[in-house]
Amino acid sequence: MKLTLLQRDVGLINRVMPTLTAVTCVLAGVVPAHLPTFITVTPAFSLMAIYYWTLHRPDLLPFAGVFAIGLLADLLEGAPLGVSPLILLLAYALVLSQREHLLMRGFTVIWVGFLVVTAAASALQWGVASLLYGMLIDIRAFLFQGVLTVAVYPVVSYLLSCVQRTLLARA
Amino acid sequence: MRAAAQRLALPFLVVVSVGLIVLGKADILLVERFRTDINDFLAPVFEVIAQPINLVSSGIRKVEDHFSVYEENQRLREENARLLQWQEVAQHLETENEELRQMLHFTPQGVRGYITGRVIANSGGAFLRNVLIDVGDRQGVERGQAALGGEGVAGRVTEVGSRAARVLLLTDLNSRVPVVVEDTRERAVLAGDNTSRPRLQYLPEKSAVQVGDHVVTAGSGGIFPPGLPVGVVSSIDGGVIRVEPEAELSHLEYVRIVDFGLGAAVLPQSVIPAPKAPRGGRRAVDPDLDSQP
Repeated sequence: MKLTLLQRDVGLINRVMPTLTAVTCVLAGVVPAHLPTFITVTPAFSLMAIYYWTLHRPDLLPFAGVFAIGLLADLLEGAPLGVSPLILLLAYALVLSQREHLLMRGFTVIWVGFLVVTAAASALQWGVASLLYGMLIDIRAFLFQGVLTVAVYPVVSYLLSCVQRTLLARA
Repeated sequence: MRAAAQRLALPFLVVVSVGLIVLGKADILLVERFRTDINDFLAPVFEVIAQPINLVSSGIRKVEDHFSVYEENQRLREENARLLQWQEVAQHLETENEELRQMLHFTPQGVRGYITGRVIANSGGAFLRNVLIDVGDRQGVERGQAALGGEGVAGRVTEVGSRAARVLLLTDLNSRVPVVVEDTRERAVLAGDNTSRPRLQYLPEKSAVQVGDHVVTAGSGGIFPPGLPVGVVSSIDGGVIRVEPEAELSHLEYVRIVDFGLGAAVLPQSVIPAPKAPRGGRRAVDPDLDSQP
């Protein structure tokens, strides 16, 4: 039986949905949100999207997609090119290797897993940035961003699970 | 075959990422071109995304304003009284200045033009402090120009596309601005270090700088016009002198780009035209640009 056009479209939407939500997360990270004055960094939304999709639908998120998302983030943030792709690719590989262990247990373990990934990503980012600038950069901003990212993850995870349920269920 | 490609994709892309980081250190013009093109392409997208967010934040502000009307009114009255005094002083000084200029046959410096841009994106990265604004070379923004946020210098323009530009804030690790401590006339460099209060470096050894001293741009190096307010010395702690910027850098909504005709000083050699073809007469300051939103 031939696929109808709509079914094929749904298939296409499925395939690009994780990448699209990750791009949305990248944009959300740079839009001026007029938050309280003490917040000078925004949570790493792109890391959340990569973590979520790697856990739940890694088949829909290719390595090239992760690379492109990182590249877009660097371009938009005015960051040295390559830093975000490197971090996101390594996070992707790390989560992929531990995927089954994490999924077997409940959300708390997934959240703790995200904490570990965020800590590793922040440490790597700090290391790379310090090397690039040739100095030990004050670590507080990295710590603060890490804490903020882990704190916000349940909300983003919930939103992404809504996307997964409504769009991907139709496939 | 497919599985093998998938297995090789990760190491390949990791190597590409590292390669990009290393290449980026070389400041290749092509990379910058690519960045500005992406910014230009996404500028309208940011405009659209910003609409609902602005609506919500202005709604919240309105509610907050309702609760503080009395205090705000009181504060404004006091400020008004103070400003009226300053107005008188300014008028007096202007007249005096005019007289002195005539006596000295002094030629005034070029007229400053302002180009106002709205912040459409800000980098919330852990080690990046910059904003993207919705004006570019179409509006006359040039690389190296100073950007003012509210009452003081916010940073300088580092990338310019046709309809978007990036402003490197004073707090960024890459930011270095030549300044003068107004009260002692000592020169220094204000260096961003990823904290909210940049450091004053290269002050004379026996410096008389005190907490509360005002810091303004020095104008040396031809990057910024002299005398723009930068900030106030906020702490002196074991040789580390920190300055609280006048501009509220974490919450910039609009910035004014100061066009002072000094932009070419920081252009890379490759884009400075050959002597045979000089930049034909600098663009005149267009008063219409000032009224941009």
